[in-house]
Amino acid sequence: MSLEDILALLVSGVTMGAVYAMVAVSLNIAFKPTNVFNLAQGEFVMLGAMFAWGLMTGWSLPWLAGTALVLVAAGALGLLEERLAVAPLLANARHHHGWIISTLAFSIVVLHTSDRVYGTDPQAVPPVPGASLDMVQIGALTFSTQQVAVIVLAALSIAAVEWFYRSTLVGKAVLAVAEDRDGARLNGISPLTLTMGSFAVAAAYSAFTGVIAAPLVLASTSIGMMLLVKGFMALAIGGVGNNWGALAGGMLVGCVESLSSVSATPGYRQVLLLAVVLALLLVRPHGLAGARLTREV
Amino acid sequence: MGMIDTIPAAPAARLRLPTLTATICVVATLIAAAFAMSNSYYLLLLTFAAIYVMAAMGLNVLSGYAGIISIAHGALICVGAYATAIATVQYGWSFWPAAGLAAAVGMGFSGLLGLPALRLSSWYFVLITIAFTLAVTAMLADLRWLTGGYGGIVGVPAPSLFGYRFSGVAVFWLVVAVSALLWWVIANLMNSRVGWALHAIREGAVTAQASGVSPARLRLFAFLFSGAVAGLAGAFYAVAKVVVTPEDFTFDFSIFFLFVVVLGGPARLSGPLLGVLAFFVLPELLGSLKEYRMIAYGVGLLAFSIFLPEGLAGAIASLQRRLMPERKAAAAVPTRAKPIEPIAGTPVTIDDVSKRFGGVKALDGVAMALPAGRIHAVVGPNGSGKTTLLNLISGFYPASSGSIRLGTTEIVGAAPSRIARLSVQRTFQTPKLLGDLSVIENTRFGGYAREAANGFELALRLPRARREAADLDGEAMQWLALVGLADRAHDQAALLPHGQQRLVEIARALIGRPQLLLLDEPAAGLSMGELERLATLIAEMRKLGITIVMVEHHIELVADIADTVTVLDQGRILAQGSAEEVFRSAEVVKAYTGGRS
Amino acid sequence: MSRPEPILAVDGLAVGYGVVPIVRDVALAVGRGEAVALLGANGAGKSTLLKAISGLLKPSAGRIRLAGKDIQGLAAETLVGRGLSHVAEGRRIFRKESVADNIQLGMYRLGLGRAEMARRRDEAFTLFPALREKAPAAAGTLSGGQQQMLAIAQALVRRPSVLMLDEPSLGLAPILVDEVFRVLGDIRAQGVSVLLVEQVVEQTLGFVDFAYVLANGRIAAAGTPAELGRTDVVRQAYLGRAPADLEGAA
Repeated sequence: MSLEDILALLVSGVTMGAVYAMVAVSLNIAFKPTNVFNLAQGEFVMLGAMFAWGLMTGWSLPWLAGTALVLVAAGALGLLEERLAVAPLLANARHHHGWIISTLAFSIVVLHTSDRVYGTDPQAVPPVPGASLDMVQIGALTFSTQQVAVIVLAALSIAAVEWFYRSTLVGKAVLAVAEDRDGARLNGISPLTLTMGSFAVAAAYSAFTGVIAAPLVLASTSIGMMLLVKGFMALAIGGVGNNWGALAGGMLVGCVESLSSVSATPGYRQVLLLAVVLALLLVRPHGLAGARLTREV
Repeated sequence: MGMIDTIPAAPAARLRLPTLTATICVVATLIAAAFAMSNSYYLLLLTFAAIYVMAAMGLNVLSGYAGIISIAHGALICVGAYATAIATVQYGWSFWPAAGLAAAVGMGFSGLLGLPALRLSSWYFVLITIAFTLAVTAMLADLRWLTGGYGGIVGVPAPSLFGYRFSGVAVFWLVVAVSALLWWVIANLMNSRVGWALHAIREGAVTAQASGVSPARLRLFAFLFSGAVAGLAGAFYAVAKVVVTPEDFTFDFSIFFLFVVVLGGPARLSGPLLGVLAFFVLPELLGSLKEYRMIAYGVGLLAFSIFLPEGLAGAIASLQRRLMPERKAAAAVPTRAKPIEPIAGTPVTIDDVSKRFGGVKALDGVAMALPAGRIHAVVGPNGSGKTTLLNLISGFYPASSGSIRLGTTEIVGAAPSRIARLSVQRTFQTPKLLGDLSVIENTRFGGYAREAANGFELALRLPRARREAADLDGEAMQWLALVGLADRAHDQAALLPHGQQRLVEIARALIGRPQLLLLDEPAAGLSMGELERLATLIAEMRKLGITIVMVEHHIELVADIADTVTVLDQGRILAQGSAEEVFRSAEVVKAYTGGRS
Repeated sequence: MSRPEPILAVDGLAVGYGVVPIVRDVALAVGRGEAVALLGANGAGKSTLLKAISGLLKPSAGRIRLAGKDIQGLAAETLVGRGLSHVAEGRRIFRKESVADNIQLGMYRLGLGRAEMARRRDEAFTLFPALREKAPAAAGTLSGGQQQMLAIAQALVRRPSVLMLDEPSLGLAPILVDEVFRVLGDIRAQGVSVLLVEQVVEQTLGFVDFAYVLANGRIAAAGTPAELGRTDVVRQAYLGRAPADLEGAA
């Protein structure tokens, strides 16, 4: 195999890794104030892609306006999910891990409704303004500007999320809620507002991931579950709650997947990734970064 | 000791009317069987329904009883079905060894997937099972040489036994018979220490560990059991279907089993049957709206998880409670029971033990030598480190430094379940009973580490398991009589008032025949009458020979019954000695009321 | 001796977990600028009562008024904005966040500008110099006494009109307990009304203007420290009976 081929595989691995990292980060955003892993998060990526197809390709809206609408719609659905599927269970301690079932149920409803509405065929979505899907060659490196855009947007958005938690009072308040819900309330912080906000933002962020990834992977209703799993793998490798870890984990998953595509069929690739994650969880249960979860259940 | 002589024996098996749930299950099954006999479409439909019930019963052990949600169950059935098809069609095996192989393969995969979940939160497992399901689907197409690719494997032979070939109706009855056998096995297991331990782990593991259960081992058992059942169900699926193809085993197939268990009634024996009948057979018979079924499933799953987490079976049970008021359990027949044998208490040596939490020293250089068979009280103001001390002895917190020895055995660093197996039992500040279970089941659970019968013997009710169960039932009644609750043995534990729950906890600890018993504020929240009962009870336990360490705020109780008293203040020992000496000390009065020297 | 007009008044309050009431029919008042103690043995219901007042628990009956307005049933986070602050039992700070961030989070509700927040934080550091040195450290690494000071500082930067403290001296060495009471003195001098739950009875009675004794979820006695000192009611509430009896019993 030539250097060019390896580099091309790496570029596509890093690009997909950036997408997986964004999914992982959206899982983190919803997890922080609630300790709930939103299993519908992958479907919000799917919705972002499908909405983008409907608005930009169907209605021919310009990219920025279309994206803005997608984010608003996905945010509203995220809020709806929080109210319907999460808040009632968090309010009742007897439900234990009831949210696993309820968020999964929500994702099933979203997925199958989308199947009805959009059909199951893959659709094309326009690239980010200024980028294109045409291949550019620089030395041994071949890539498209859309791939570059995805990588840059992923890095920038993760930096923005980290800045939010580290440097804004609201961000710190989310961390405070994560640590001690009642303690936060006694300091005037409303866990309810922050939880709703986090779910809306996480859904919008996932949808944004869908908008920028769709030109590369094509928009179809079946991408959500796959992205949820890959995002989870990135999260498991990087450590729960660790956004930069998620980026590294996503890159690792993307590159393993992409490089193994040379000799392995899709089935073997999935088995290989699953084996890597299982082995890692056995050796380092809290991810490569090793940040301990606050509490095991 | 007058009360010990008149201890009631374990009540004879109670004759009782079938419950509403049982009635519904039997009637529905009979109707379904009648339908199956009427034409070949119904026969096929109900054969699959019976296979699904079997598979769902396996998932119920994992996702219902153990509370670990899995989405890989459909994929494990798929693996079992393919294992059977490959073994029979391509390698010419007969059905029975192939079914054994299917069960083994299902069990192996399930155990492998479960390994990380032994240590990690169970949501990891959900995602791992999703990944597994996606990978299995993809592999079926890739392993063309083995699985026949998209065309699948054709011509799975029907099972035969002693020259009799099962087909059509016979396959249906075979599956029903195997499912019934499985029902019996699961009922046996879930009404034994295994079921109670799974229940305790689901509720948060603390009670389980205090009774000597290793949560990791029990979880592993749940994974292996449910995987084996899935594999076996896969074998029957292959037989009933004759042709196995990848398109049978979609992602939705896996979701379907979770749906059936959650909606039927998780952790209830009848849940899978009710779930399959109500949410598979009925919709198939009605036949309409097929394309919207997954949406309806999703909505149903969401609604049930919020409004009816106990599922159909739970709803029927609570309907019965409302319609037919609780039958009072027959009063136990008092007979002469064998006297309770004395227990050789263990001495405890605590040496320079410290415990830090972040920057805070909860215990600082605590040393105590506690001779066997005495009552040692630990008192002190709030936050002085008393409960921390109990948690160190029972292993729930690791000590930061120092040594704790039972006799000569060092226990610092040992897991709580191991310490419990060294005959250390404890109670909790707020009683931690398994609220859904009866008082006697809760008591029996304390004897977890004493039972020698293994899971296999329990599952098949082999003689040793039966004998042990009968013995421990009898002993549980003795202990319940000792704490004065024999007449409530069959009541649901959650319905008891707080004070009585505390006494049940003590009975649960006693059936473990503890050499060391740790009581965390036993008197808190007791009425005057209950308090007197407690004082007598603790004196009885001392007579049996048990070493007792008790954290208590109730100074009168301590003064009345303790042999030695240790006063802790800010993590250090302020005073140690007889109750008389200690409470006369001006320092102690100051520590309590905050005077300053 | 007449008490000032109440800023916080509780009447006929009942509260509990589930169906079992822990606190029943409690009436108490904190006057403007007053320091009031709530005494009682473990399990008497003191913490439950504070949680009901601050909105963490919903009372099943009764009335709570803050500055003349009904507040029962309002959420805890809302009441913080109305000037009621509750420093919960057990040094409830955000252990993973830095000391400076913890203090800032105390002002979350107030919507203050950066400069004002910095000014108030400096004020808190003046009151608790040890915290200034530790400003960038994670709060969980502080000693017990420092953690308690941080918890109080978090409430103080809100400039509450009523400050409720649940056992601020819990698990602290005597010298640190003195420090806590010195700080409470400063706070009272600023005109803040204080409702104090404490176990260190003598020191508390030496500090407050008025005290209630809670036993089995009801008010068993109330009065000025001098009045309570004349009876044995406080000692009984803590020890069950007088130590003089214990000698005979043992």
